[in-house]
Amino acid sequence: MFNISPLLRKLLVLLLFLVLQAGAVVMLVNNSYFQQNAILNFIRARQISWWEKRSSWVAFTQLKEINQQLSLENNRLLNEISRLADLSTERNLQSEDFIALRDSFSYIPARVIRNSVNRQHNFLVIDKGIQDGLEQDMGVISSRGIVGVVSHVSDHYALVISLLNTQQHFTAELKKSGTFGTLRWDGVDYRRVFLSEIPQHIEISVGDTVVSSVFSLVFPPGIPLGYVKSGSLKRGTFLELEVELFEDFKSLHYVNVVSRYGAMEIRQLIENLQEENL
Amino acid sequence: MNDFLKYILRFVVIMAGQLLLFEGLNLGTFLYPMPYILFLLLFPCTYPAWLLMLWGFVFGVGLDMLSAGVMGLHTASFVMLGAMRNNLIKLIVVKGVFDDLSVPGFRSFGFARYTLFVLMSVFVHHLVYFNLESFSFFLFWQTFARLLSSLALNVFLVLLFKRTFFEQRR
Repeated sequence: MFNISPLLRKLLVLLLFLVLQAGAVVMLVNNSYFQQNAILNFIRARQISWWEKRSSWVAFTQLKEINQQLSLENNRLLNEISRLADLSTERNLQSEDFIALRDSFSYIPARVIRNSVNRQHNFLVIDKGIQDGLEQDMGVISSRGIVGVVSHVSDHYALVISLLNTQQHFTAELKKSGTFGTLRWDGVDYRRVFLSEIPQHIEISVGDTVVSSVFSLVFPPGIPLGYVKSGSLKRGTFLELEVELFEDFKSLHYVNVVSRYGAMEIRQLIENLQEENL
Repeated sequence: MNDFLKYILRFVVIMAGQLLLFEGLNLGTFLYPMPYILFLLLFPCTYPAWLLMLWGFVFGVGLDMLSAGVMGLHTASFVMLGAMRNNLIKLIVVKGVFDDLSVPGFRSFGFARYTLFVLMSVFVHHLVYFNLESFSFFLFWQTFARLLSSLALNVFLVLLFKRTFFEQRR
């Protein structure tokens, strides 16, 4: 085609290879930038209607199971209501106390329209966005445990970093002792995560429930996530527990986004503190 | 020009198959079906490597954008495959003399050689893909296990689709 020496030609091919590969790696490293990219937003906006159709069809085929889950959750909530009603008559709560109880968390129901479990970095797309009051860094839960954290929001949709993401860590605690540790996924099994940094002296038995932590900024405390399956000592200092999740991420269709009253304020407080320490 | 149109058509069909069917299959972390690898293996044996890399890049970027994953993963591994493909052909087919129209396939390579060719190509692709995805050698054995299980699945799928849709019959 062009009249150039074979050596030069080889060098040019090598150069092209390096340029293309560098382009790919730059995309990989600047991932969050590309997720805000205008072209990508344009594509997503068109894609989402397809995802929505697809997910509604898949959800339709699993209606029976979803119904069962919902009725179980209803049952649990009814029990909770009757328990709280008992408590309130017992203690004769004043109206101010109710306000104090109420102001901490509120929930926005959403439908999952895109989900994956077979990557190392899994994401979900849900059908609620800025218009519905969603913000970045809000928690996402389902009736069977925590799901993830909102990472990007558009007007009507939001991208959620799944619990099944090797780069994302969460805080969780043991229900029995209240000891908290770091919850992370090792990228293998979508039904299993690890709770690490548990001190050695804590007594643990197989089957103990793991719940979301009081210290978490994004999740309400005490949501059951899973149970302890086994444990091992890591580096001779801390226990690492294998936790079997209650949530089945493969059949996840309906979630709740947690909006915490005052989360912004707490985050600002922490940021100020960190700035002072620097 | 006729060939170019054929490649574009293939591009669209394979991309659609990957996005509409195989991206939606959640088979767990150990099995990720990626039969789109076949796209680069369908070009003629004498197709220049730099064009293969460009095709790989465009296909990879398209796939990365349209599937809601991490950007750049498919791109990096597909460009690598494009760069390596012709060398793999030279490595496997010792006789090495092909006319311009000869395409890698069961007929031109023979079943065993073609299977070996697909195996090595998918291995090159997966080596880049899974190592970049976990982005560390910390969990080496786990990444390796994921690589091998997906390799087996994808070699099977690529051979199956090649046999079913892209093998010329006489």
